Amino acid sequence: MRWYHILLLAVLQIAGLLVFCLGFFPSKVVLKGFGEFDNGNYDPQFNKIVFMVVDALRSDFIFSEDSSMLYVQSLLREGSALGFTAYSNPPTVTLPRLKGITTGSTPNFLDAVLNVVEEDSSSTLANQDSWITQLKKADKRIHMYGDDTWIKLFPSVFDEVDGTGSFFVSDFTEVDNNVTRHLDHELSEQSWDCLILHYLGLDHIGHKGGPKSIFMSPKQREMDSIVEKIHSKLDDDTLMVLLGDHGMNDIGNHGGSSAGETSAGLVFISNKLRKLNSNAKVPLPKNEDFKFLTKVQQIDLVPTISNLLRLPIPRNNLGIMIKEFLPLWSADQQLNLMKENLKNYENLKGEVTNLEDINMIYDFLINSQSGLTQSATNYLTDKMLCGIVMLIFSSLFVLLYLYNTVQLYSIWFYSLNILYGITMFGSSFVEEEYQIWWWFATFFIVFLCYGRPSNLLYILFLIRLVRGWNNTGQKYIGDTIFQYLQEHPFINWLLVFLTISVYGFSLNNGAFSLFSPLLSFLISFLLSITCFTFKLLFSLANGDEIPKELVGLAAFTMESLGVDNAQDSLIDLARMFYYMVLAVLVLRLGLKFKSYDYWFFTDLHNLLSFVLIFQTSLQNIPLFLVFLGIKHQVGLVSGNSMGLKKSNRISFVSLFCLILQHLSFFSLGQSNSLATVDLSNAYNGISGYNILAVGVLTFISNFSTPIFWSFGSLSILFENKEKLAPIKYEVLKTRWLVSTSFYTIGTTFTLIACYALRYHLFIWTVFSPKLLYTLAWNLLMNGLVEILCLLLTILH
Amino acid sequence: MPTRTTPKKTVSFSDNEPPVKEQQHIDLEENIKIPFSLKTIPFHYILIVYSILKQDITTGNVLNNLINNLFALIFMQLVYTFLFVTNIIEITKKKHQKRVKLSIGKDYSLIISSILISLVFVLPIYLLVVLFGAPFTTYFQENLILSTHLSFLSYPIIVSYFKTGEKSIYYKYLAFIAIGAWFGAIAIPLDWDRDWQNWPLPIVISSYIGSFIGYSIVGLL
Repeated sequence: MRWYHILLLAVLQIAGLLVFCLGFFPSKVVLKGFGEFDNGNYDPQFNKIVFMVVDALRSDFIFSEDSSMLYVQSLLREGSALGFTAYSNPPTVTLPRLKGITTGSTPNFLDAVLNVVEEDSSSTLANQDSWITQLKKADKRIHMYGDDTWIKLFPSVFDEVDGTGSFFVSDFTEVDNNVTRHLDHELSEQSWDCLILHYLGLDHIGHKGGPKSIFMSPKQREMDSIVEKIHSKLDDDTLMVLLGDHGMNDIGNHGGSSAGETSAGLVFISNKLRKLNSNAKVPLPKNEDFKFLTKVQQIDLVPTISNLLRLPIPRNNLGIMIKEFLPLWSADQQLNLMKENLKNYENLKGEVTNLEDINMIYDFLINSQSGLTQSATNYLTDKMLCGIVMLIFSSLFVLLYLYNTVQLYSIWFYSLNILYGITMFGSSFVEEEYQIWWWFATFFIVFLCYGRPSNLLYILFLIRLVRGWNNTGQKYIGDTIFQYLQEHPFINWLLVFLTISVYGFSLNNGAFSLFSPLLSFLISFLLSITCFTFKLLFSLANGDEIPKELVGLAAFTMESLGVDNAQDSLIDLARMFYYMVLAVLVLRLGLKFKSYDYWFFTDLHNLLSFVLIFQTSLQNIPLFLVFLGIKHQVGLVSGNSMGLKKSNRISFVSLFCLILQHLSFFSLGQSNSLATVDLSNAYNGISGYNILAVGVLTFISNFSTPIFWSFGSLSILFENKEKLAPIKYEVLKTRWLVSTSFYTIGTTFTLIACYALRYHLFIWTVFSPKLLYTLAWNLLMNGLVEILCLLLTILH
Repeated sequence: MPTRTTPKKTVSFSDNEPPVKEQQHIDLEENIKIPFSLKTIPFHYILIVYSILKQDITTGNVLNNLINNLFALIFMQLVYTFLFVTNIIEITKKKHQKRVKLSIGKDYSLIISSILISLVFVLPIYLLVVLFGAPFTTYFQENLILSTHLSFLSYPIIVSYFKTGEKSIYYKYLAFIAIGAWFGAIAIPLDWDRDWQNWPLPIVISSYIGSFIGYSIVGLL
């Protein structure tokens, strides 16, 4: 096997994956420009609008017997309000849903990703047509209070604005009071033409306690009283719309496409609507599919609002004017108004129909709607298949090479990879991937430690700690060490102190001590103390409890840095830490050239561990102490497992590190869902928004443990009893083959699963995020980190 | 022509280590034989699994169910042990083969003390079960009953051990039970929310299946 074979395989693998993703996440074509009136020969029904979004307001929260929104129900009964169950297109996450509600188009999956990346500017709707921009073009004043996603979508559109962050999910009351406190003066002055309110509390309650939480009923009553307050102050020319941007499932989460998540409530409120004589018989009995009253598409809201306010319909709208409102206009105006909707569709489809009958127009619109919404999520199957074929080729080649290297033992690797691949077809296995890795790990540990019961028990104990650290699955959720440490900050800080000192001592014993013991001590001490102090001030700035023994240290640091509060010191401290790491790295590499070979990989690994600890949340830091024990034990076992050929031994250590990479990834609290991406450490040492730096730090903090084991296998292999340095390229090749065989085969199966299940109910909630994670593992872990390992080995 | 003695071929498992000498062990090993016999296929395991699944396995009732079936298991294991132990063939030094005898009259103390030993083993098995991933802070009683089932699944092995002395073949039976228990864990992540997925049923059932296979086929291996 030549080096260019390896290069070719790696390129084939990455290219196949990217080609597949291009087909799987097709970017949507958006028409530029703004909608204009066709003739506009109809009267506005309202000239003002109050748009009240209650996040995750599911249909049954308004209409069912369990609802506490009694005032809204009374309005529905007397005909002053018109209620609908609105189907919200998945992904049912706030950002894509707000796009749908304002532009009338169906979102793509990438919007759900961008929902996480908060400071991304590509998701803005500034240049896309929506009824908000149409209002703005008509010189209306728009006031906005609530979720700051709106501000991100419509920068500098609102005349008065107060945003609330939506990522602190534990707050039920403050987020809503922040909106309500503006109501009194807004309602008395009424200096707006459009008032947008976005309440987040209900969604937060759902995330924390589910739809049956004890906080749910009081929150619904609160929302009900706000509706009452607003409605009592409005005149007949003001329309009020109450809606949920999406629903929630039975455990209170959302993002997918279950009936609960896609069924949002939608209510139009105004006394003028009494003309329509619709007296809904609410409350209605609960039903399984959350369908109450008439079911409409949520995007139908867009042309309805446009028509009621007499605005041009937004360019990319796919909604259809809700028929129930038509009797508000006279017959000829109805036709004119529907022609607006028709023209908007004709533009999108690029065909002219010249229909003159309202019913025929409706038939045409309804027929076209399903086609157009589907084309928005069309898969490019050619590209997907092409990507799969490329991956299959590269996995076959890797399998062949692996067989040549470890012969009969390769059966273990094949079965592990294929077993893992098969689990990719089960949505619950993807969600609970943690369990799969644990399952592999226990088996493999017994296999690796065969005949060494004391090592076996010790590794099992340590790795059981790792497993018990966090729980990302939905099954058998028990107590975790993470929780315990959260509740016992003193023990947590003690363990953090211990962890950092152990790594400090380890670094102190490396090659630096051979060069100069004093320098070695200084380096280790300074790194440890900076890291520890940063963590201390970080939690102080976040308002967490810190043990009183450490208050002195925090105060001293702030005093010597000359700052008043902990927040200001963070950037300086973090930068100091990173400069120090950089300096030590340069020094170590420099020593290398003076042929200080002793503990080369271990030194670098310790240094790296400092960075990883720095980027890890406080409760997860002691994990690294456990890892050190496991690393030591694996070294002992692999150094002594006689009876195995050298190449087999290397491949088993590599496989074990691969398993540990994945197991420890999930033990950080990560999962195959975008919801667990941790951004809390992504801004260490960064003052502005720097996409590259934030990206690197996000990667390090989310993949800290996989990175640990990736580099850790180098020091296990090379700095053990046996001298493997003379055959370092052989070692590296074996190591690479093991991990690549896993990545190619696993990825191939993932792609085939995504292709085969592309119309599956969970494709957006389970399989698409998994595909994104696969992409990250392939590009970053198997690509970037492996290249770094290769470079280090070349240096050695 | 005198036959030349060819050096015995040794399989090397390592590049630089001298081959491990295994000849010394041969005399100690293999002085018993457990032949395959239809008599020793533990059909009662299937019966108990069926009985567990037939009874109430809804959340909260799993524990009672498993306790009831534990008594059934212990009782049936006592009978089965006679079948299993008497199927073992001891090879005496003079290469005579004779079946091991087990009689209530003579071996009652062995049978009773093996029950006690099984009970004593529950604790270490519990620790192992936790180390292999069972919940530690919750489901304590469930884990304990799981360990007791596992312990009594190996009851015939304990009796045979004391009857014939330590033999490596017994580890194969234990391995089958352990692998069975390990396999059951694959059912944990499935979101089917069936009653048989209640902790620790998947593990109990799969270890019954594992030991059924073990007790049936180890004689053939």
